[in-house]
Amino acid sequence: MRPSIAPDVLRGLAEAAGELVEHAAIVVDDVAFGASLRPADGEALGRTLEALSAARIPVVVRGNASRLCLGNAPRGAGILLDVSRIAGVLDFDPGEGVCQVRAGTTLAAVQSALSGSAWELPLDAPGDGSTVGGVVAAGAAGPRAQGYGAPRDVVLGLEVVLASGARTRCGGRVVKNVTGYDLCKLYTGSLGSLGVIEALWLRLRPRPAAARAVELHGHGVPQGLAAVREAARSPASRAASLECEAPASGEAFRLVVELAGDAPVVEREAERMGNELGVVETTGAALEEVHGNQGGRPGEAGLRFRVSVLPSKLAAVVARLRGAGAAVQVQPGRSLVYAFFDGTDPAAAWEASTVAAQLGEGSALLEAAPTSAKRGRDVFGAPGAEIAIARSLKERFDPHGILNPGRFAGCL
Amino acid sequence: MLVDALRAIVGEEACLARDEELIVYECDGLTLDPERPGAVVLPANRDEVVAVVKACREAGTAFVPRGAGTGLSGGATPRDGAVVIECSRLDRIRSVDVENRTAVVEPGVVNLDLTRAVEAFGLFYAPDPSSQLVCTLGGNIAENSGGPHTLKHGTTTNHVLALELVLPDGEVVQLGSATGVVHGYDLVGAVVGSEGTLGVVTAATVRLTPAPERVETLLAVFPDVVSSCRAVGAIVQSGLVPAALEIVDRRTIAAVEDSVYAAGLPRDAGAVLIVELDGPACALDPQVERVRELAGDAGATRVEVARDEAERQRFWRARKGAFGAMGRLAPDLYVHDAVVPRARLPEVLEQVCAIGDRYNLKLANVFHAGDGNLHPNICFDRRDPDELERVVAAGEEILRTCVAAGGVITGEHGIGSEKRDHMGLVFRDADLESMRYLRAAFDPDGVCNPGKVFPSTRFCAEANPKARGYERVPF
Repeated sequence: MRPSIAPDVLRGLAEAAGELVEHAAIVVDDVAFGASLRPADGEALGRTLEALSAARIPVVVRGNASRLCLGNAPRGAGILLDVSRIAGVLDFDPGEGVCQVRAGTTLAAVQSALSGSAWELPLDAPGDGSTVGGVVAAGAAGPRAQGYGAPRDVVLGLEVVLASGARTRCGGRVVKNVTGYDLCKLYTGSLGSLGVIEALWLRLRPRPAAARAVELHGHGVPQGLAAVREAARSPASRAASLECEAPASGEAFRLVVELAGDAPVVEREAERMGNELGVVETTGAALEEVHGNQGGRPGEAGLRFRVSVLPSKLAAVVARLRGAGAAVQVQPGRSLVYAFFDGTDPAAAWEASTVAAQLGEGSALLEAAPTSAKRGRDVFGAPGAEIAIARSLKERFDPHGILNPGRFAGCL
Repeated sequence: MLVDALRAIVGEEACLARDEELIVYECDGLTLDPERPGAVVLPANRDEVVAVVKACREAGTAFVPRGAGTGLSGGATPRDGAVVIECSRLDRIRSVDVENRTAVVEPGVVNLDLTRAVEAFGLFYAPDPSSQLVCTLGGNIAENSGGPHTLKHGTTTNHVLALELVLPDGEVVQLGSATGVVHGYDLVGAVVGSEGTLGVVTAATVRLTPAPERVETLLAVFPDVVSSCRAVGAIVQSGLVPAALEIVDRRTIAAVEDSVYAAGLPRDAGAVLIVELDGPACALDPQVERVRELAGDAGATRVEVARDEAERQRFWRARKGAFGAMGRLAPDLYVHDAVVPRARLPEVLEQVCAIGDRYNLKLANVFHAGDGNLHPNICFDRRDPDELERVVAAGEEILRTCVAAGGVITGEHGIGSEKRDHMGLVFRDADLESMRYLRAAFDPDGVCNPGKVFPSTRFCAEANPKARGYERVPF
């Protein structure tokens, strides 16, 4: 499928990017994309964006396309901007515990570059082949963010190409820095709507001396919730998740906790949790399975909401979501509830998630859903008064609206 | 007249306009580049802040928020006859939520007072700038302040969840969420550390941290500062994450020992390294041993572990009293602030000391070694114009040295007016342009704390046609 862009313009874009590939349609919310611009480096990315800006051609930016489901439906975009070729670990400083990677590098490639060292990459968003740039742009985090911190805490510096094609930098490679405005915070989680990340400086974490996984299968969701909250409070807990099936399947729960840190602490806490909560040792595979489930959804028609709440409201929020038929995964360390609806009644799912978020004094984000369930809504929730500032930012960073138009919060 | 309008808003007593009153607000902790404000107001609540901002806008006058004035980069120094909005009366801790570990505070709350208010619940507020006895949370938010314990616990930006902000047009906006999760741009992250240029914070929801099970404090004595830096590198590389890693050098030790802060440090030492470890009790004994070993390998002649709280306080007195003690050495003190990769500390420290010697200056180092955050302090007398010139030249050379080592020109004090003309050492025009987009989205007319962060001529002319350029070198 060819994009509906005039042939001479397309030729110009292909030249700027260095590579244009036509491929089987990649569908983003019912919009089919049959071609991708694939710049090989930052310079080509700059040229490409400059050309796109000049021709006023909007793009959807992608890494390895592992979370293109996130966001509102794209507006008017004709072509994909694929940054996955801009990949590679540029620097790894084991003395400092930092590394610099190109945006298209996969999380797995970074972990493998660090293997054998004393450091690990504190990013664990689920998703096959996820790239570092994509994960940071989406602000996506996995269960270990309880111990690692969110992506905003991991990013030290960014190289970002603006819509104009200008290649810019913010932050730096050092672990403490207040030199200039902290634009890293602004770009992280902005879904590529202000600029395209070219490279990142990341703060690494010391690899824990010991790590163990424990689990508990039980009955009674309130009991499970109390147990997982207790487990998440442990100083050794770096990820704690509780899974509950939809109410139609009963009240069974599964609790999985990863303990990591100095060996004496991990042992002490595993023993204490065994005595007090009844958890038993489990395998890394069980842990990975539950962690992966965070990004799952029940079938193609299903909806997955991420509801952030105050810790004190977790029980009420879980009850409300399950009352509407949702299966849930609760991560008390991050104070998040993932709600999975089967998609038979999207309006009811929206209603339940919105009410649950209000109840929890937080917010609900529709992370994955068929396009039909997104229509007429903002998947990031109704924006507040700060939307005026957001619009003003968007107009300045991306005056022609070529970067992921329509996709971000407020349909910017 | 603007002063009359301001008096009508905040009351006669809370509006200062006489010369002898204004002189106090001419500068913050950076005393070299003072400027008289147009007026000073001390609003008592958010609505008064809003009214003051609107009155300033109507009069076409700039304004600058100010906390306790302990900042070290001139961030609170008024430019263009700006009105100073002094936040000390906005000093309520509005609420403490023990279960959710948050507090809602006003900007005038003193940093340490928040920890004192919550320690009975086993909680504390983690960012602890050296001035925490007097500095306020509003100023900490503006500067994204750090402190000795931010090595493990993070700086202010890691502990602010939500803000109530009076925008430069007088509108009030709520940013962020007490849950710490926002959908949309991370505007809280953008405002923290923006040096009071994006609006006036009138309330903040901050994270409270559970107190650690146990704390161990070590003092390691080294023959020279370079070997103490090597120990820091070894500790960082070992995977240990101490709560604090602080170095005090020979000249600082001498100043401290001659002062009321005397901590019984060995005067013949080249440097001491303070290491604080916190966490689960059962983890600490092996960690203490590991630090002892690593310090010994790096050349420590002695390693002491504090036996009780009194001894722990004694170790810290050497660190926290350092700035005060330096007052004995000369009438003026210039506290520098720069960051380098931690592994580069030994060589950079050597270069910094050589620069001090070359310019014949009294240069002493006391710094957050764990995050590579240098504080070369220069004691001088501003009445000696030749010495002042050497202070300025040495300062710039130190910054260039740090940048050349892969570092940056400020780790926690901010750019302010002090380093605005050094931004070019780190950022190119396109980088600064992107920062201007952020500024303009909040403050298109450049009326909120003008003359800060961005290099002088261009930004002033662009953002505020009425502003005059500041030619003066900010050191």
